[in-house]
Amino acid sequence: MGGLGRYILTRLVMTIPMLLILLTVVFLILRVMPGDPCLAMLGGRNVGPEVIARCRQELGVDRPLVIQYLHYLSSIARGDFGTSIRTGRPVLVELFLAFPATFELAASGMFVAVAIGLVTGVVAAVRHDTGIDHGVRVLNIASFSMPVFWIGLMFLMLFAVRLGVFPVGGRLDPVGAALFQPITNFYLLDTLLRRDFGLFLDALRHLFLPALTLGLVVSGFIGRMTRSSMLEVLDREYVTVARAKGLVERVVILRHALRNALIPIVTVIGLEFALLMGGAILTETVFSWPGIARFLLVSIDARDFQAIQGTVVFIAIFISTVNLLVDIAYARLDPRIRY
Amino acid sequence: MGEVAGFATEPAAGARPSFLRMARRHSILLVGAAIVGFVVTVTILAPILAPYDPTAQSPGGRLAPPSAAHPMGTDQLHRDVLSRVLYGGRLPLLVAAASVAISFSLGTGLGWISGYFGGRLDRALSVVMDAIYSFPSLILAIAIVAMLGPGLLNMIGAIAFVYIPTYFRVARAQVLTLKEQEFVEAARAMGGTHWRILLRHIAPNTLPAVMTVPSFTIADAILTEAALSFLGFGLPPPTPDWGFDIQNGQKFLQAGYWWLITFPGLMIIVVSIAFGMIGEGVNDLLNPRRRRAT
Amino acid sequence: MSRRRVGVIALAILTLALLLSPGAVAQREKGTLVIGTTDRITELSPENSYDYWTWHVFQQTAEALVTFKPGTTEIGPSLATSWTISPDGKVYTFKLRKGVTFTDGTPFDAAAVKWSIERALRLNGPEGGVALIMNIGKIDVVDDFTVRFTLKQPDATFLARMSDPIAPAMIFSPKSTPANEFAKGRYAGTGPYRLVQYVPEQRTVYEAYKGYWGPQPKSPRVITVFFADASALAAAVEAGQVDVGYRTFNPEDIVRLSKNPNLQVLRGPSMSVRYIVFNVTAKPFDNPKVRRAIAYAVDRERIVRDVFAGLNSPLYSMVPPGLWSHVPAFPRRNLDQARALLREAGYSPTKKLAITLWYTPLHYGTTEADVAAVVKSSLEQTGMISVDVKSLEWGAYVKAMSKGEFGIFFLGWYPDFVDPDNFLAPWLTESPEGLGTFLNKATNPADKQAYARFQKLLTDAKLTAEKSKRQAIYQEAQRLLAETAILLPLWKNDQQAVAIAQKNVKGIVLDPTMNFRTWLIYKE
Repeated sequence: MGGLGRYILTRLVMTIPMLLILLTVVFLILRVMPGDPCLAMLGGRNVGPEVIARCRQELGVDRPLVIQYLHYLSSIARGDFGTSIRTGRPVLVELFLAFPATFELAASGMFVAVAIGLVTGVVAAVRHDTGIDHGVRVLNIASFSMPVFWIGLMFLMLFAVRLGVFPVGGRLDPVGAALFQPITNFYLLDTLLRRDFGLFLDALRHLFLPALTLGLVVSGFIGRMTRSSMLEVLDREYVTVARAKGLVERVVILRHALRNALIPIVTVIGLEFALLMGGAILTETVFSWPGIARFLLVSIDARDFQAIQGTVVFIAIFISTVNLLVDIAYARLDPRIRY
Repeated sequence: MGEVAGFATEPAAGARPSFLRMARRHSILLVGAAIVGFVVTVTILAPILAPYDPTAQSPGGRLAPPSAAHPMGTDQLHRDVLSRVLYGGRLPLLVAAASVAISFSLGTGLGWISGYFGGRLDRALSVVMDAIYSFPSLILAIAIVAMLGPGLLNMIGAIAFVYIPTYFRVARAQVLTLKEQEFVEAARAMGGTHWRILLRHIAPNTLPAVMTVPSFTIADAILTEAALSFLGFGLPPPTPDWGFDIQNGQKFLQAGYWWLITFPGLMIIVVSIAFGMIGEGVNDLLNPRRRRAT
Repeated sequence: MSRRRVGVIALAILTLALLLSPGAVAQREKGTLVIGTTDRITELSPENSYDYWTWHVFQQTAEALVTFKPGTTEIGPSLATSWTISPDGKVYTFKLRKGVTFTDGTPFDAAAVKWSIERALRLNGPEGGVALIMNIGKIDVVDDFTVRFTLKQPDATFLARMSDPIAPAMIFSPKSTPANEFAKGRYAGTGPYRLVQYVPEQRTVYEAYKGYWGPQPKSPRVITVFFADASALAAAVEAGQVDVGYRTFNPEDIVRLSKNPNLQVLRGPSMSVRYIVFNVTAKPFDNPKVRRAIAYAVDRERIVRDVFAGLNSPLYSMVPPGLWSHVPAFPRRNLDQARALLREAGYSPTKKLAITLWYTPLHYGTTEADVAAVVKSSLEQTGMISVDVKSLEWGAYVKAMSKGEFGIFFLGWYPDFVDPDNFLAPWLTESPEGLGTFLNKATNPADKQAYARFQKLLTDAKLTAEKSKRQAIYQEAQRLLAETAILLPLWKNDQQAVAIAQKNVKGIVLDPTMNFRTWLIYKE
């Protein structure tokens, strides 16, 4: 098989131990660290020893750690994430229902972040050491110094409440949502599949502020990375060569410099997805967005251990997958990496 | 924060710069440090500076807008917002400083050992650190606090845990580079033990790169602490805390009571940016880039 | 190049215009009513639920034998057209309405009534309110449209207990409702609406039942949206996304929206009360002195003033003022008395009474955290109590309370029917476990005595129909409750009986029963 194919396989094989480690860390945090997760869930309550005993039996905490660990791994492999004590439904079902919302939010946020980051980074690099450059640097620092939830609240206050141009929360207008039958739960996709253009626009309008909030905060890293990467590249020989050949400056920048600068940026994008997930919790809270982050918070509020564990595991798997895909994309872009 | 700082290069040769020129070159660092210094001082002096008890009712009205008596207004339980803002920095700064101190020590230490001795230990540790690093830090911190329960030590521990991989990676990367250099060969030839070489020769030389990181992680830790408090995983009320106050003020936003979240939010931003500026400044100081000829 | 630039700019403007254009959504017909609430449904099982919104859903989609006439506390016919009561007060014979069908097409008859109510009595879930109708001894089908109830004891309040929205008394279709399991949403009622969609945490949708025996509901479709917090609800009402918002607004938002000329703020007479419950089997609340000390230490004035901007009023009895027999039996705040009692119970500034106070963060509005904070600081002002405040999501809260897992916690109440009995019996004699007091399992002899006394008092009051006699009994019961402090009434919830609606919404009736009848509401 070709070089890329072999590389993909290698990365896949390497992802598994990483995922395993991650799952082990989650296991340690949720089951080992608190001593007794049942006590953590039932803390402060007037419960007799039988109740605690039953909880331990249900969660399997009464068994030796090694057995618990193996059972934990095997149930994940089987796709059995337990049942939510709050909703009564399998946790995996709840996650599949909630995940598309988070993914739409994260993807849109990433899109915004990349757009803003690339543009400001390129501009700053090209106008290196000028006022614009300094300004952009400060903006970059500012963007990742701002608390996501505060920015979200400010946007909410300004655009939704004061100006009334955007809705205050949720994914769709309540009436539209009630009459709408989602297929995949990715609303942008579903509304198009159902040829409901008005609802598509509505979904977009609901997505706008949360995506902007999320993207703004992450754009700083990307901007920073773009700037330094571009600065490195602009100094290189092939750029001088391109300039010497007489190519228009813009072409030089976009075609040659940016293409090569993109390589490290792609890795940063992969890392930023983790940041996005963290920011998503806050954004989903501020904008009442029904994603997995909100599901996690409600589950914590209800001391729903299986749901908490299932959600964290799910996120771990998702992140690992994203990292794998980013690695592959990186390989595709950088011709130097071929095994 | 996921930045790996630039590598050290030779210091630029040249005449000794005048003080003013130095100040201008390192303006970002100085301004950042000044702001941080100001905020820390004000926070420490809160008991003297605050006009009212931040946890108790003040004579001002309920949800009173900023005025002479209450420059930042009052909240719904008649508490003075200015006092809460002054006291509210204690927790974030304390938690951030403590957790970064812990992750710095543990992470750097482990990075040195892992990078120097290599082998299976290094491979194992690297994979573990990479795994933790790739996971969303806020969610990890929330999971830890949710399971351990609210409390100062739990919060510090949770946030410290999240940043250990950052320091690990920087320290380890530095050690890997330095390991191959000549002065290490020389030291070994002179008969130094591994530990001696590591601690005496290598570790100090990793510091220029490693020291650029703490400011950024402190800024990030402040934001993480604020996020945890905002989501309700911080210390229980009525402890003043910027993040908590923002969550509290949320329900009054629509009614037009903007001062409840604006001031705590601004404080978080200012302190965070200031630490970021320090970080940039330290980075420039320790790892100066070649100037461009454009 | 410039042509491309113009094209890009034009595209950007077009996208922006489309994004910002309002009403890019499916046209909202007048017939669809959108309600917003921060309340939640626990479990759609009439035999295993006892909370406001769950019973509200049943009330829109099912009916009982009798009902309260809107705007009054008078009982009128519903699925029963008339009834007779035997001279000894124990036998009630109902004549049923003909030509009624359930939404699944099954015809309604006396057999269905017997089946449905016997089912509730049999299944009697731990989180349910079936105790309200436990007095029913026997149900007989006299003929297809006549059903006879024989009670164990005469009860002046029986008819009121057979009304909606008392879910166990409502009639459900034998075809669509599981006979031996909790319904969990599987049921069919007689209308006026059908429940066509329920997405937990998000929305319910009712559609008018075309085969309904009575007048068709004024709005053929009703969508209820569940909001994550009160500010989001207020914002949605302001933005016109929601036609009516009900339960539970922030006090600030109520004040602000009252000034908005595009909205109407309706306030109902409220019979809703908020209080603290003690689990008398959980240490240290098995000691009446501890409970009474806490009763002396709470600061109702501060709660009302600081958390609710004066929109509610302090409450000194479970029976609210405005209802006959009310007597403000609970003591005013007195820190010295509190400290004295605590000392008698063996506590001191160095050996503090340590308690865990539980609240639920959303169900009663987002002010609950502040209430808990104020109560905590009021109790700690004695210098001899240390309070650890904890919260739990509503569904888990209800389960935990019915299992006795809380020692001291906040709860709310709106009457199932408007009678002093319904402000005392539920916690003291009818559902002490379901509502968390566990008085029936009291360990302390003084509490056991109190339990026996409450049983006698409340039964006697139901045996006689003479109001003056009943009044005296209920007054004694209130005084006994204040002495034993099993419950701690805090404030009368005027603020919760507030609905905020768009100007064009008509037909909202807020009456003492707290029933929210969506079939009367429509938009002009």
